[in-house]
Amino acid sequence: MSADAGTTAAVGTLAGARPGRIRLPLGIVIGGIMLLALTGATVLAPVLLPIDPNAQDLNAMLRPPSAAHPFGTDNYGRDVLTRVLYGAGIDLRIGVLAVVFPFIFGSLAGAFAGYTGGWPDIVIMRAVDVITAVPFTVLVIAIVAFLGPGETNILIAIGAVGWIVFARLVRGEVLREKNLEYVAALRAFGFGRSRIVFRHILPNAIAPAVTYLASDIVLVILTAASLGFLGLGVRPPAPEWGLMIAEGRTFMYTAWWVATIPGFACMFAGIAFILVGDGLSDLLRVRGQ
Amino acid sequence: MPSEPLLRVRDLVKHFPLPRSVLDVVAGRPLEAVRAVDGVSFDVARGTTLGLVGESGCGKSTLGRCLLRLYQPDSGAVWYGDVDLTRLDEHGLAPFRRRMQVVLQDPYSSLDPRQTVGSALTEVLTVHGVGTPADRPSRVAALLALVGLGAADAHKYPGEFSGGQRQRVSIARALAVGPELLVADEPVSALDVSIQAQILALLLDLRTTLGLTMIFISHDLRVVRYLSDQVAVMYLGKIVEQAPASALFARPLHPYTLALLSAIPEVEAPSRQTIEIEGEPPSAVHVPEGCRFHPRCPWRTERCLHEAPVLRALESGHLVACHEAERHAEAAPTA
Amino acid sequence: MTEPALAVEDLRLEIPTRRGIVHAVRGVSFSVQPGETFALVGESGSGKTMTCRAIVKLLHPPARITGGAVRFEGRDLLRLSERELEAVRGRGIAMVFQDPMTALNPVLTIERQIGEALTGGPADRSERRRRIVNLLRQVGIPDAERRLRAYPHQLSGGQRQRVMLAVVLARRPVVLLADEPTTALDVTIQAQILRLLASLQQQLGMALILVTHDLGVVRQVVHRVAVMYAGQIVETAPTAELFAHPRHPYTAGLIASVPSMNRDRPLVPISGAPPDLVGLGEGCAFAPRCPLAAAECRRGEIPLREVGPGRLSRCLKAEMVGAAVAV
Repeated sequence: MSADAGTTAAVGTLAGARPGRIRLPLGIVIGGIMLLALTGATVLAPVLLPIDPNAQDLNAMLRPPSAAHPFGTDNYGRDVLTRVLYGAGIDLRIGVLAVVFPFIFGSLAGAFAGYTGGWPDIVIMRAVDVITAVPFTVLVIAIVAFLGPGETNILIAIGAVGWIVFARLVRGEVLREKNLEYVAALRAFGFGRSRIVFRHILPNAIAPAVTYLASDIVLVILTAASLGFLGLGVRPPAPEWGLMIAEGRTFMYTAWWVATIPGFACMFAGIAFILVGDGLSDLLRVRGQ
Repeated sequence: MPSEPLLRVRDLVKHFPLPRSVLDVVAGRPLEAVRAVDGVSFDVARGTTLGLVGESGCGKSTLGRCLLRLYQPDSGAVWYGDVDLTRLDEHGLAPFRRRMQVVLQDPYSSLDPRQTVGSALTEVLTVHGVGTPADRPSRVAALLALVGLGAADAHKYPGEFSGGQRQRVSIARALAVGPELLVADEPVSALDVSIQAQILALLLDLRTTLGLTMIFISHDLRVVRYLSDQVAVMYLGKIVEQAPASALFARPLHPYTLALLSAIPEVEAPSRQTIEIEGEPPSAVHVPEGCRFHPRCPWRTERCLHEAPVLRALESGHLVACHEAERHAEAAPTA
Repeated sequence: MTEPALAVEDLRLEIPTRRGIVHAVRGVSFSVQPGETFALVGESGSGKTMTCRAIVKLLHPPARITGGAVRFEGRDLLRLSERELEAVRGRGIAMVFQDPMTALNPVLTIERQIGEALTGGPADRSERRRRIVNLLRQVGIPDAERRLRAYPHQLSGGQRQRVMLAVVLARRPVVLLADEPTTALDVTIQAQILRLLASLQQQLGMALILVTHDLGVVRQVVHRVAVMYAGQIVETAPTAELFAHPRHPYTAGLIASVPSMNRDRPLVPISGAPPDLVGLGEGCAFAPRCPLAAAECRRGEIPLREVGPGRLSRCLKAEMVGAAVAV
C-alpha cells in the first residue's frame, strides 16, 4: 500500500463520510466564501482591473483612496488595490504549498514513529525535539538567510521546520489508536501492517492534523509576510503583502493605506482559513461518531 | 470417542519486563517482569469449547493473545494440528490466521469507527481471498443474516449500532472466512444482562451449526458454564484446575475454584461447600514462593509455602494443582 | 411502620439532546426504612443511575429534574438551595460510586481524604489519626498505619473501594447511596466488599440504596427490590418473593437471562432491545418485547398497582407472570 492510499482514504472520508444531504457547518460556509472571494479576486484581477500592479506613476504618489484608486497609491504611484489583489495569489500560493508538503511528510513520519516504536520512534522524535528547541521564526530566518531569499527558498525553509507539528499530532493519535481493540482484531485476522496503518489507523488519526492544517496556513502566511518584511522573502517589486507592509511602514502617519490595507488582507485570509479549519473537524466525523 | 486435539499448548510462558532506568542497571538490581503467563499447558479437542476463567491479572487475556500470536510467547509451544505456531514468522502464520479468528471484549473499540460494517466484512473476505468481488456482497448479506442483522445494516457505521449489535458484527467478521477455531476474549462482559443472553445464545447456536472449536475467555463463571465443555481456572499465570465443566462445577477441588464459586452472587441458593477468602491477589511481578495461592488459602500447610504444586489428575480428566486437594475433597455426589 | 429514612415521590427527569428530549426518569416513587437495604435494579438506560444522582442533585447538565420530590428529614431536597444541599450531602446522605479511582482525589493521600470527611471532633492531629486508622481497620484495610500516606493509585481497586467506604463512614450518614459499587471489581473482591457493606450497615443502622444491574448481588444482600425499565419502576417486592414469583414479564425475563450455576436451567434471552427514550409512545414500554402483551397494554398509562402485600407491579397481566418462569 502506498502513501496515496492513506491520503486518499483520509480525503475519502471527507467526501464519502456523509452521503446524501450534507449539512455544512457555518464556519466552513463563511470561510469558504471568503477564500473563494480571494481566489476569485486573484484570478479575475487581470481581467477586471487592467492595471499593471507594477506600473509606476510618479505623478500620483501616495494618493489617498479615491474613485480612480479605491485603496489609494503607494510611494511609487502603484495602485494599492491591484497590488493587494495580485498579492493574494502569491500569499495564498505560499500558504498552501508551504503547508501541504510538511503535512504529508510530517503525518507519515509521525504515523511511522507511532506505530513502529523502537528506534525509528526515538530518532524521529529526537529530531522533532531538536527543531522544537529553536523558535520557529528564528530557524526559518536562519535557513532562508543561508539559502538566499526568494519564494522557493521560503517554501523549503518553512517546510523543513513546519513538519514537526504534524508529526507530533499524528504520532499521538496513532499511539492511541493502535491500542484500541480493532487494531488487535485486524492483526489477528492477518492484515498486513501497511493495510492496517494506511487504511485503518491513519484515517482515524489524521483528523487533528487536518484541522491544524488550516490554521497552519495562517501561520505560514504571516511568516512569509514577516520574511518579506525583513527583506528575506519574495523579492520586490512583487506585490507580496509582507513586502507591501514593509515598504509602507515609513508612511504610516502620512499615508496609512499603503501598509494597512495589505495588513487587513492578511487578516481576512487568516480568518477565512481558521473558520474553515474549525468546521473541518465536524465535517470529518463519520455517522455515529 | 475422544476427538483429536485441534490445539495443544505446552509450557507457554510470556513475561513482560518492567522498564528499568539506567540507575537500576548500574545498581545491579535484577530484571523484574510481570509474569503474565508462567507455564501453561492444555489441549482443546476439535469441536469442543474450552472456558478459560480467572480474575483480573490471572493471565487469561495474555494467554489468548499469545495463542493468536498477537504477542510472541517467550517459550513453549502452540501446536495447531502438527505445526508449532510459535516457530512461524508472519508469512508462515498467514494460512493459520484464516483458521483462527477472534472476537474481543469492547464493542465500542473493536470495530474501525470509520468503516461501514459491510466494508469491514468485505475487507476480511478480500484479504483472505475468499469469494470473488462479484459474489462478496451476497456473502456479506449472508453473514449478517447469520448473526441476526439485516442486509441494509451493511451500509451503517459502527457508531450507529448498539453494543449488542456491534458484538454481532464482530462475530460475523470472525466467521467470515470460515475458521475452525474461535478465540473469544470476554465477548459479553461489556453488555447488559439481557443482551448478554442473546449473544450467548447466538454463540451456542453458531457453534453447533458450524462445528466450531472455541476458546472462551471470561471472568464470569456463570457465562463460562453455559458455553464450555472443558473449563480451566487460572490464577497468577498458571492453571490451577482443569476439568469437564459439569465435573468442575459439581465438585471443585482447588480452593481457589471453590472460593470463586462461593463468591459468585447467585440468583439461587448455593448447594455446595463454600469458602470465603480474604486479601487481594498479589502482583504478578513478585509471585509468592511455593504455591502461588498460599497467602490467601485457608487450607495451606508448611509444604505449600515452599513447594509449588504440579497440575495432576486426581480423577479421570480432572486436574488440580494443590497439595491438599484430596484431603478436602467432598464425597462424590450420587447421580 | 416507622418514618422512612428517605422517600422519593414521582421523580421526573429529562435530558435534552440533539435528537430530542430523552425521558430518563418517568415518575419514580419509593421509600426506604432506616436499616433497610433497598435495590434499584435495571440495565443501562433504565434510569436507575439517574434516579440515584437526582436524589442528591448530582446531575450533569443538560440533565434536569422536571418534577417530583425527595423527602429527607422532613424536607424536600429538590427544593433546597445548593448551600443547604451541600450540608446534607456526605453527612445525611452519602454516595459511593462505581469507579473508585475517579471518585478519590489522586493527588491527596488517604489520610488527608478521610481526614477531610471527619466531622467536628478534636483538632488534635494524633487523635484524628487514631480515628482514621480505626476507620481503615473497620473497612478491612490491612496494615492501616502504613497505608495512611499512600495515594489512591498505589492501592488496588478493592482497596480503593474500601477507602471510599471509610470516607463515607467518617460522616456516619443516615442514608448511603451505592451506585454499582462492586461492578468494576473481581468476583472474590466483590464478595468481600458486599460483606463489608452489610456489616457496616448493621453497625450504623444506615439505610442502603444499592443501584445495580447484577441480580445475583441483589439476591444476596438486599431486603427489597425495585426493578426499573425505561425510566419507570415496573415491579417492587421483597427479594425472596421477587425471585420466587416475579410479577412482571421483564423481571421474569431478566431472571431467565442470567446463566445459572447450579442447574442446567436453559438461558432464555429477552428478544429485542430496550426502547428509545426519545418520543416514547403511550402504553407499556416493555410491550414490544413482551410475550404476554395484549391490545390494552399498548394504550394509555399503565399504573403501578398492588399485587400482594408489599408488592407492586406495573403490568396488567401480573397474575399470569408467575406461571411463565420456573425458578
